[in-house]
Amino acid sequence: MQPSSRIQTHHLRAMRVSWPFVLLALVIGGMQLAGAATAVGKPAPDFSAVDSNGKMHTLKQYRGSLVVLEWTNDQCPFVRKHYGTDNMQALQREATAQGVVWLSVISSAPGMQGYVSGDEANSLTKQRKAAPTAVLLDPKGEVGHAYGAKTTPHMYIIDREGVLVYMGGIDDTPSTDWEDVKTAKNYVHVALNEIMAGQPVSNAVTRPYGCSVKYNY
Amino acid sequence: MYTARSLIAVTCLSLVAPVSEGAANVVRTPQSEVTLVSEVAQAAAGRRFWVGLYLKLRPGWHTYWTNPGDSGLATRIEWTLPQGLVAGTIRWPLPARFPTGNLMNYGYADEVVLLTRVSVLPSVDRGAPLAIAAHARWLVCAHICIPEEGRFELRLPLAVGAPVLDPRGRRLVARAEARLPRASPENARYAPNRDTLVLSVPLPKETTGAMQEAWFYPLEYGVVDHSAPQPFRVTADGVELLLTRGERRDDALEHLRGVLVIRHRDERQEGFTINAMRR
Repeated sequence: MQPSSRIQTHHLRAMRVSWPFVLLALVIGGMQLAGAATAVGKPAPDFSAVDSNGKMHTLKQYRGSLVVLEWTNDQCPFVRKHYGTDNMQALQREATAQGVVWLSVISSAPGMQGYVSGDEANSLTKQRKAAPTAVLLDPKGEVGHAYGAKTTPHMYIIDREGVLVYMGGIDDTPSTDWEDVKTAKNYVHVALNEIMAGQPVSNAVTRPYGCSVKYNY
Repeated sequence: MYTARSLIAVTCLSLVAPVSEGAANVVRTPQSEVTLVSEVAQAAAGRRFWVGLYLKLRPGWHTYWTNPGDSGLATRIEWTLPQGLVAGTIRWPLPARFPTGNLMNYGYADEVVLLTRVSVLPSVDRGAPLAIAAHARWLVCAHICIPEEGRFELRLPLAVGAPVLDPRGRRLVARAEARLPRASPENARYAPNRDTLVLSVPLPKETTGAMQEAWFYPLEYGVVDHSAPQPFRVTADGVELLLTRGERRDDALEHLRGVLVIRHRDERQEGFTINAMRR
């Protein structure tokens, strides 16, 4: 009995001692996270990434335009729901027709699900009649990690001043059922309309749902 | 290419196709084997009983808790029941953590029984066996995710008197019941700070005496960072956890809801439903 209670005492004391330290570490960690990841109302992290045609894009170059970032992976069942129903492409067409810059981002690492070459990305765009401004290839996950992108799809909207105004899901119905697209509330569609009407975004942070982004950890 | 795609399409179809009736009330895929079990072989009017969606997964695969974490999807069950029967919502056994890089998922590996309580009203029609049909949809993930679904049906005769137990079903249900969270400790509280939430849960000494680890699984998305470490300390009357806030900074949140899972040094687990009032 005696040894075990001694161990327990040590254990507790160790925890008491470590608590302020852990707190400090967490606060620092939290600040780093907040700096690294993104927050609505804060400037969106700048990035430079090459698209499927080898052209470089930076966030900065689109200052003055609304920018949508869409994390994607063509093999993911959640992504397939939104492309199989033309839901994502319709939104891309509608948004880009109104001058929105729409960047689809592929952060799948080589060998992981959804990783494609530039040519494969282009043929996917053609096959699926997708209409993004560009498809960014992010095989090292740099853009993904800068934004804290977790899922495919995971959607972000950046306003004309470069401030993040929306992050989260494509809609309010987490599922892989194609039927659900008809009844779901499309948060990105709503947010874009609100921004264009000069209104604040009513649901600025929502749950992203989907497959995990296939980073190479 | 075309042929390959058609093959994939056919495979996908066979994965989701409903399985034939009776004893073959099982959905088998390369990843999982799923069936519907009941703790009773014969139900009784005016009584309630558990049914369970029994998911067995191949090694390396997992499925999800009601809050799946940073990705994934919770299992859904739609019931079709005869008049006089009422099904509750899924009662989720204690989840486990599935970290991938800096993402965190909450769910189950190996096997899990998702329990639903079915009540038989006294007014139920006693003329025919009760047909309990479930359309279940679940997601299994390893490195990749595969949505699966199945339609299951149980036909249970009505007992003349007390319900008649089904030994295998009862065993599975009992195992799942033992893994359900216990009722919320009273006076659980949480205090929001700028980047953290401090969760205080009163617990008996038997529970806090040999704690190896405590983890709070939030019910809602975005309130707590799913993957951040959760340092804890044992206090005079329970446990205190330091949680990192998630993407939603809702200072008006009245209650922090979720499940607290405590792992003891002998690996035994205990779980509590948490409904912590804001301090």
